[in-house]
Amino acid sequence: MIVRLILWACGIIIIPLMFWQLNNETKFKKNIALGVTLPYVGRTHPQTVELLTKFRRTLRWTCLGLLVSVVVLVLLPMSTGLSLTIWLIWIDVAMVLPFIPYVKYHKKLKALKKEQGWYPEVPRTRVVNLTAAAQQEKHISPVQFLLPLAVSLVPLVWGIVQQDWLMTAMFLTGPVCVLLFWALYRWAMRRRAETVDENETLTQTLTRLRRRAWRRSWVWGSWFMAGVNLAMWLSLDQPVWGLLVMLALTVVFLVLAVGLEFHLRHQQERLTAQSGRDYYVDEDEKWIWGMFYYDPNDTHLVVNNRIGMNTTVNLAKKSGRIILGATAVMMLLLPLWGVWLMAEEQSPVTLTLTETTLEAKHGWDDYEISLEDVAQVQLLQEEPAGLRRIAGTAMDTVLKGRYQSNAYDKLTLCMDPRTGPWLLVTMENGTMYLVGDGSADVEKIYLQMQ
Amino acid sequence: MLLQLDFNSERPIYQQIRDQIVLGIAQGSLSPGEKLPTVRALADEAGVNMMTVSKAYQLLKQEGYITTDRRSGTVVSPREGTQTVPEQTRKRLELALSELRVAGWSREQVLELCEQLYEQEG
Repeated sequence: MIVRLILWACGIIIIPLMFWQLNNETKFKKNIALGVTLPYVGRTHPQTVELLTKFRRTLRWTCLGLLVSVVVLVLLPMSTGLSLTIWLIWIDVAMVLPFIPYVKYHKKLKALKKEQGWYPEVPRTRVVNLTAAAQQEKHISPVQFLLPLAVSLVPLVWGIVQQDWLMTAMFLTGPVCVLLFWALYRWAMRRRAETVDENETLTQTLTRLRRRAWRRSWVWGSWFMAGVNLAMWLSLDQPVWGLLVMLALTVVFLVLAVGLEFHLRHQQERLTAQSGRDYYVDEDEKWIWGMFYYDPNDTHLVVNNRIGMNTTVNLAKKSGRIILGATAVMMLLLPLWGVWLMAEEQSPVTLTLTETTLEAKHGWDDYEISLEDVAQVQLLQEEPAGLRRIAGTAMDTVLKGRYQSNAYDKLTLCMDPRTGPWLLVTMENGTMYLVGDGSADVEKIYLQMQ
Repeated sequence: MLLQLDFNSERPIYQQIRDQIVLGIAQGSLSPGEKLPTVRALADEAGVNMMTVSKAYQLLKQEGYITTDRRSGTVVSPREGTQTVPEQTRKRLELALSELRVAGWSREQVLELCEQLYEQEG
């Protein structure tokens, strides 16, 4: 039940995030609301206001429905695997469902725009800001990325010194992410200026604000990855504490990142409140449903979202379609992970003794212990105290992979934890295995091995 | 200064960039000595190939509207320095006058229009 509660607590965050983001789309920023660009006169038109109000109402009911579904699903009794499958399906639904009213009202607003003839004087052209392009880009000092990189390298160096290659691979994630964020930050700094109208100062301010937000998000992301790496390393013996620290870091990063996005959106709204009276930029033709960019004349693969600080891909490019398609397929296939977990949960642990080996098997994993190299075998009636996972699977029906315990330090497990006894096999090189299939055969195998 | 690129127009993009920069210089939106973006920066901003921007800049340089030097980059040339009419401009003007003549415009009407446009361009 606790695992299920944690799972849903993590998932439920999506609802307020989706609500705040989509609700925020109804506030005009850069003359855009619900992905439709309108002139100043169109923004305060009664029909526009009515459509935006209706959208907000529908969005509220959709999010409320999702919230109620969580309460129902969390109370239903089910196994971990089934619970995870349902949770993953719910995540997919929660990420798509609020966009249905968004697209519906986007289309209605676009139809109103057409009906009222709210188009700028020079339509269907690409606006290029010559002045903004001539300005020198300000890059931050490399130290801002080098510091988190250095911090994230500490656990990696420890792993190499200890010659623990599993840990080394795990701690490699931090530095790789910091380097990736650094590269992405440089890449993103080359994007277009935020031209809304002919006001050069407004363009400069909006561009500067966006780039600052983008820069901060990557620097903070780098520190987050460095912090996670450090927390994992420092809590190797206290996995629960490590998990709590990582959870706290995630919450802090999430709050900062969401705060940054909404602060930028607020600035965009405030600064462009008076725009759209004379000339204004309207690129609606290039945005399908106001959210998918399609411009075959644009050489860019990655482009800025019109609102906030995010980026998107150009669907007119084959690579753009592949990226978006792959993301969608990955999202749709996510529930399969739960199905796989259900199969793992149902699959029994088997223990087989042959002339030369003792084989413990569960699902795809096979642990072969050569009898020649066995130094000692013990029959344990109780699980070793303080058993904690380093890398592997821990479910009600099976424990497998690398574990640690108070009495025996590092162990390789493949056992059914529900029923003992279990075999503790010590190899000549000191490696220890703890195996057992939960049947009475374990004792017979023990005697045979003796 | 804003450039408006029309990708549905028959006029090539490099020509549109060139024309609008000339227009900007004439209208005073681009003053002599003002720095223009690098080829890469303008290509990035416009979402066009670097070759397109390079071609527009080469044309502007040949016609004397801009100069490039290693230290200050690409800048707008002083207006006094471009007294000679480029051959292409003369040909285009000839063609435009012929079109107006065929359309039945009188000398006075053409001169009046030219005067109006000249005043507009600042």
